[in-house]
Amino acid sequence: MNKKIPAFIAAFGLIAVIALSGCGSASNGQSPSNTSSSSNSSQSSTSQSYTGSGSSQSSTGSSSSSSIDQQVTTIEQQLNDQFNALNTAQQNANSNASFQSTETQP
Amino acid sequence: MNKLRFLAIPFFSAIVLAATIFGQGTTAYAASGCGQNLQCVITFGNTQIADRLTKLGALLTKLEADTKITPTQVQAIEHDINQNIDGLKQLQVKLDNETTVTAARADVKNIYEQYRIYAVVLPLAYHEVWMDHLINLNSKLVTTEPVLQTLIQNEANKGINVSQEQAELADFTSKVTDMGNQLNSAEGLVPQITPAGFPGTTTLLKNFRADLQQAHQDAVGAYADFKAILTGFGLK
Repeated sequence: MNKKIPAFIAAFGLIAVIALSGCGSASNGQSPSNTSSSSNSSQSSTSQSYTGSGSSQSSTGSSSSSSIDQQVTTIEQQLNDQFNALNTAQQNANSNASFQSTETQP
Repeated sequence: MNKLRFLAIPFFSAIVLAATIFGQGTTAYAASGCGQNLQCVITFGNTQIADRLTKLGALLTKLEADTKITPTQVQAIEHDINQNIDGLKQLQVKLDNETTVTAARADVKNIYEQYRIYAVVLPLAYHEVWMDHLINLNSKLVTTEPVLQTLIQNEANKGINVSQEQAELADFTSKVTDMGNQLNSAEGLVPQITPAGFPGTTTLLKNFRADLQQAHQDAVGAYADFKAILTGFGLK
């Protein structure tokens, strides 16, 4: 019986040491764990950003052909407008192309 | 009958003589009809100045309404025109205050020799406007070239025969390049065309105009190629 008491105390002490040690390790582990979690979410966020960029590129790529068609149609309209103005400018220049060299003086 | 003939000869002679005198009188008024009449010379000069101011003002109105040339291009031409307008107005004030025919005649002479509005300023300005339009159009055509290349490549990737469109693009590129060269040549002439350079400016203006005409033709040709490419791909 007397021999059982020190064994009980030793076992209890061991449990206490393990428990305290566990607390410490839990405490130590929590921060890296949080950091790790935070880092993961950050990576996830970065990854999402890349995904977004990728989908944007994909969108551009898939509409490339129709985009060019649209572009040339727009360019044609712009060129039409520029030519109309150009022809007016040419007509005005033609009306002032005599380069009069003689003018009457009193 | 004989009497009629006798009367008709002096009658028609009188008409011919009157016409001759009247004609000479008109020419004389324009050329030197004012004689020593100071007010006549001043009035003549004021009329000449007013005509020029009206035409310069009309050019300014056209410039302000032009949306296809840049504000910087407009301002450059406006600056020259406004300088001429200011100068003519100052000359008009001077002329109005002259007290001798000699001084008034010298002022009137300056309307021509100092300003050359009809012979140099207006032709140059209107041709500069035309040139600016061509420069802007040339820039647009240059940026259009890679778009056409992509368009043709896209069609080629689909297995479509694009040899015709490639030939049209080559012609387009050639015309746009020549257009740029003509415009460079034209731009180089502008600083040489000044009222002080008259009458040598007449040849320079002709060369300037010839460059612009060629650039214009190139632009029309390039645009025809552009439209032919679009038509070839069913985009028109």
